Amino acid sequence: MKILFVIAGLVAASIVPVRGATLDAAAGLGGLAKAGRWTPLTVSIASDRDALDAELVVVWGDARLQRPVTLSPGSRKTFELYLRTTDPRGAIDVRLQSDGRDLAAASAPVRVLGADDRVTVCVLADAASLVDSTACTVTVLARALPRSPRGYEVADDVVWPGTRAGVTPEQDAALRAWRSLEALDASGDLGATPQVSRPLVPRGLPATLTPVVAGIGIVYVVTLLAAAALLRSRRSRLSWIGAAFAVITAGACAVVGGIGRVGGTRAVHVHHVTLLQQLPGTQASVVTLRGIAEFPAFDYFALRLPSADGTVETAGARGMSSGVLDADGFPLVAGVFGVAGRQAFAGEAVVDARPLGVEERGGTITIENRSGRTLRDCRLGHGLSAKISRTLAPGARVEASWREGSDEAPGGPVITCVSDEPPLAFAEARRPVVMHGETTIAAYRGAPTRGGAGD
Amino acid sequence: MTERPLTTLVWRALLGAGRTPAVWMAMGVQIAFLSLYMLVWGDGLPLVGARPVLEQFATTQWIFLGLALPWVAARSGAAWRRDEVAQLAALGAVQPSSIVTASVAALAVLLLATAAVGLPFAVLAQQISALPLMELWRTQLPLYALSLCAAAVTATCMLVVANPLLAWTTATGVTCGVMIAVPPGLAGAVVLAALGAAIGVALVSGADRRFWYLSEQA
Repeated sequence: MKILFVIAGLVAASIVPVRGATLDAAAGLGGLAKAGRWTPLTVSIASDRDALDAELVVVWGDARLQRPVTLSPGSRKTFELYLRTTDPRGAIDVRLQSDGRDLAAASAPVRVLGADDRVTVCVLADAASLVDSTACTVTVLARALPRSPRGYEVADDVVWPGTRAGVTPEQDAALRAWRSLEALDASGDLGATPQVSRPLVPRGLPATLTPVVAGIGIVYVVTLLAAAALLRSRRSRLSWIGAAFAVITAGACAVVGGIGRVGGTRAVHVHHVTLLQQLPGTQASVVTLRGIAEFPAFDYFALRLPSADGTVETAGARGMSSGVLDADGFPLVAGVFGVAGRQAFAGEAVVDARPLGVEERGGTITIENRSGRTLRDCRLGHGLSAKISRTLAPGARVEASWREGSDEAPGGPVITCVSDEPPLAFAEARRPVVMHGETTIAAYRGAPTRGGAGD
Repeated sequence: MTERPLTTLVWRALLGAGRTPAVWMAMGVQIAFLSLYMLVWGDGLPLVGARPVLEQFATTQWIFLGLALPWVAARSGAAWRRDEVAQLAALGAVQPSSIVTASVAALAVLLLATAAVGLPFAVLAQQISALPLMELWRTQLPLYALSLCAAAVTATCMLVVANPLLAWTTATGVTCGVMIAVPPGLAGAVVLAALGAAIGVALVSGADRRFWYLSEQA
């Protein structure tokens, strides 16, 4: 029965061919989902005889995701997307739209479980494999496993009843990263790590625009009063003063219109608070960020987070959580914004970066700054002691040992340091982006994590 | 009355007004006030269910100009008093209606210029609000119509009410009353412009009967 459900879930819930395109969608890890957890969605789009230039729009509860899609004639593309919602429905609505018109639509059903429902996912190498399904909540083919650690969030355990084969290196890395995260969560280390909060940005015009607006006001008033002084001193004719008034006012309008379009005002400013958590036993780290983007002009902007395995969520109308991906699958903060317009966002990404090396031998932990940048405000974790300055230069090492009487109980990361460089810097195609904020790097004990497809 | 003396009268009124500090002071204060407003509340007033920045800014401009325009008109020297009209008519051999027309026209130009001084900041508010350019004119045209109406109202009060302080106070009161009464947006702009034109026409048409002679107090 469960296998039937899996097959039904994988092969896509509903296929609605419309002239020009065909759309298939399958959702959930083996068709399962939980509220507030990332849920994978596989969408397959095929174009008919004509090329396709459309937008994929996915809506599930209070979550919405958009991604542009371009296909050459007679071709097919498959996308792996991730959504999460606090208001999960029984199906994820997928639409392919062009010029506001639906080209194709599909509805991918999911079985929504409670937060405390235990989920054991059994992975089969292929469809011919046999499995004792009594221990499995759901069975998934290896090739259908998610390619991001986020895709496993619904699961409590992933087991391989048969041969461990059929997964790609990408799937294997995702599975290892997820297991590492699960281990940190289970040990309490993750909960003891300080989390990120939204950066504080004062109200009013951005600091970069304040001197510009003040300067325009001062020059404007001084120029007008100079014209008045000329008229009062009878050195100038009224017609000239009238013309000067028109030119000064029009000039001020033009200068105001140029704000955010010329010189140093062109830059987009992103204020962020970022946490980079190194996953023990893997080469990956999880980046969590909260930010506010400040836009310099009345224009369309697309701020790109350079991580294909990442997400950026913005709060939309009526409490909707909105995500936008570009054509390559990179998350965006996109839209039309005004001068000094602000957009708050929250992001997550998995990156191949480990700024701190952590090696544990006996009762000693060696920590090395491998980031190539100076790290500041370094603090050792609970129970560790060492002679450590608050600053770690590139390549610097610290040897820490467990204090006497310490039970070596996990108490969060073994070290946290702060970097002024963001691990992921936003980029915009037409304008420079200036990042403001700090990144807290958290490194945990480097115990190898087992449980990848090869283990 | 030919067109040339009327133009000369308008020019004379404008030149006199341009050389009084009141107009320029009002423009300077307005620029300083609007600059400060944009610096402090450029991202919008923190109100529940707040309207776009452009609308908030236009409301601020509306209130500021409602109070400032009658003062500028009264202090500019272009709002001639009854005795000045009679003296000018006698000395220049022109009809009082021409002098009153010139006064109203000069006041309208002055007040339009005073209102237009805030345009660059309105452009900034429109850019901050990310609204189309049409919205800018939807919020600014009522201000320009208000300046036309205030010109006619203040000219009338300065001619009809003997005490200058009372004339200015009455003009401010009437202007504020009209501002409250008219509908918002472009409809209000049309009403204000029509009202200003009606008051101006009524004033000019009765001028030749009322302003030939000096007042009893003169």
